[in-house]
Amino acid sequence: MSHIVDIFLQPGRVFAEQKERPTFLVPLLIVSAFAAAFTLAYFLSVDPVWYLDHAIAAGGQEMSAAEMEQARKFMPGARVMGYIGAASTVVVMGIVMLLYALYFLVAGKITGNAVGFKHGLSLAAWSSMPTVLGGLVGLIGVFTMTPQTPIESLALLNFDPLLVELSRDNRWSTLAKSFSLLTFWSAFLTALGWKTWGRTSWLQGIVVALLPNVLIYGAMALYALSK
Amino acid sequence: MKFNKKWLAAVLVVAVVAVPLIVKKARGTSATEVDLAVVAAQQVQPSILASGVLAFRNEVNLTAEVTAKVRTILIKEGDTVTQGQTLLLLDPEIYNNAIEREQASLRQSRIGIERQRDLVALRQKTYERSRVLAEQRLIDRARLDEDRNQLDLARADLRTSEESLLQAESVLNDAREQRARTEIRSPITGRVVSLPIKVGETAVPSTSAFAGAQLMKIADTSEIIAELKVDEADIAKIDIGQRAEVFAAAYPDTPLKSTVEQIALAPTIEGQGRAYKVTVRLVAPAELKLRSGMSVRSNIFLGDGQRKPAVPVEAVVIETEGKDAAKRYVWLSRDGKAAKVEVQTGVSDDRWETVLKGVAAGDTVIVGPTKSLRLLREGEAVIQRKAPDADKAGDDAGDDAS
Repeated sequence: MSHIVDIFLQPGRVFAEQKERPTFLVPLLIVSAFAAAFTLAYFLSVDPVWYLDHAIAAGGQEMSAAEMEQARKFMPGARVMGYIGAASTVVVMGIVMLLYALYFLVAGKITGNAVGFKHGLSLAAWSSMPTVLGGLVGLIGVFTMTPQTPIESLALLNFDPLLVELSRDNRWSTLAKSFSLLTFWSAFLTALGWKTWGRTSWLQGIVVALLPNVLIYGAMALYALSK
Repeated sequence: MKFNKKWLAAVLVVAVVAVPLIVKKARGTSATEVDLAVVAAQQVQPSILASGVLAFRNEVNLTAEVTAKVRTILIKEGDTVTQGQTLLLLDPEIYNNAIEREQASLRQSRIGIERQRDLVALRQKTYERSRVLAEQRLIDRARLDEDRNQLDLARADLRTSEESLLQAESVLNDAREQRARTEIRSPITGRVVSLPIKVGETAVPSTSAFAGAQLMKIADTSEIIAELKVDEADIAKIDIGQRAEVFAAAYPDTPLKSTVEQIALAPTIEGQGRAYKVTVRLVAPAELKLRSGMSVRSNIFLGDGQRKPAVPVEAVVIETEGKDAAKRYVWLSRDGKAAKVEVQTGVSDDRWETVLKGVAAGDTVIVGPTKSLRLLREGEAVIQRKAPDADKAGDDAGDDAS
């Protein structure tokens, strides 16, 4: 569908058309597919022994060789983690979309611009299309990586590792590794969609788009500061 | 307008995909940050600790050989004395009396001998007369034998008396000897380091430490030694000729160079353990006021101090597989990649461990941080990490310490 290309090149047109006939399945499936593919590809390519050691070390505890052997027995292998990860990614994506739709519903009620649930879902799904680019970059990364690469270093559009490289002990590490720069693009699309449908000002659109992000990343920032 | 916007968006899409990948490529593959060190010849100084006391090379405790009151002390503490010099005079009166007594006894013996000689002469004459008479058969044989016997007895008595004289002479010499012992002379050349005896006290021959037993202590202060007590667990590693550094309690920061001179063959019991006395010869600078009896602690160096290829102790990884003997490894960085190499180690001290086999001088070895060393995999890319900043340093110290 032309929408898939247009969401990147002419997003205004996509939202205008979505207003009449909201769809969400296609973007949802594409976004989930890329995310799942990245996860699966990573776990099938990574050195499984190295990954287990790395994951245990990431747990933060110092363990002797014997204890690590024990932990290895309990942890699932890399391939299994790949399948589980891929499946759970799809499920989580769906749940997040639904939550966003609910949020848009409430926001619509508050601002006086009624937004139906289906519209909300459509807005959430189409706004998250930029994450496909992140998945694409990640996939390219997986196929060119050495087998001993941590998954965080493949999310090249995140704050860490693109702009900074913080060690695990740094308090801002978790926040930097979670914040994707594509969030800005997605927020822009959400604002655009909101403005287009409700004929509101840009300000309202931006506020609606950024509020969840501010809440979530703000909470992470506060937690990091408290450390 | 839409056309331009569209192209702008397209460029953005391409940039979003391409830029991160380019950045990643430019940065290179992520390498684990480690601390590297180059294997070089190091001076490995394994040492053992021992404590002890300082002593002068030759120390003599003078005690009296006879019991007598001290009459005169001719020297004072700190004086230098020569061998044979008279130091102390004890009251010789008793011994003078003894000499007189024995002299009288001697004279008595001499008189006794004279008497005996006279008697022998008389008996001789009597016997001669008897013999003549017996030849003329004027007296019987029994009488002759009796006279003969008397003569023999007299001669025997004379010999006894002569022996008594010798005995008396000997006793007299003894008495003279005893009296000579009331003059205490120095057995060595040195300094009087201790003078506990006073005029009027009674000197008693004894090696116990009660008043009167010890007269004085003379020491040869020209050379000072340290007597160290080395635990039996370490004594087998000590050899004559090894270097040691001695620190006196009075000068705790000044190492005194010394050499092991003597190692005791028999132990002394120290509380629960046994220790062996090791004597080291010191080279003491003249400006230090060292005294006998001062406590010292020392490091005795076991190696020869020669430079051998060594790695920092924290670089050696020890692995045991079940009941097998522990194997030792180091991680080398070859062309930026980690490689695990089995090594054979030699002597070590608290900083360096010598490597006999496995690595050569010039190889780059990975020494830390401890966590990374444990998680390294064969072939992993490694890079020297920058000096940790204050924020990290605390965390790393925490990691390494836990």
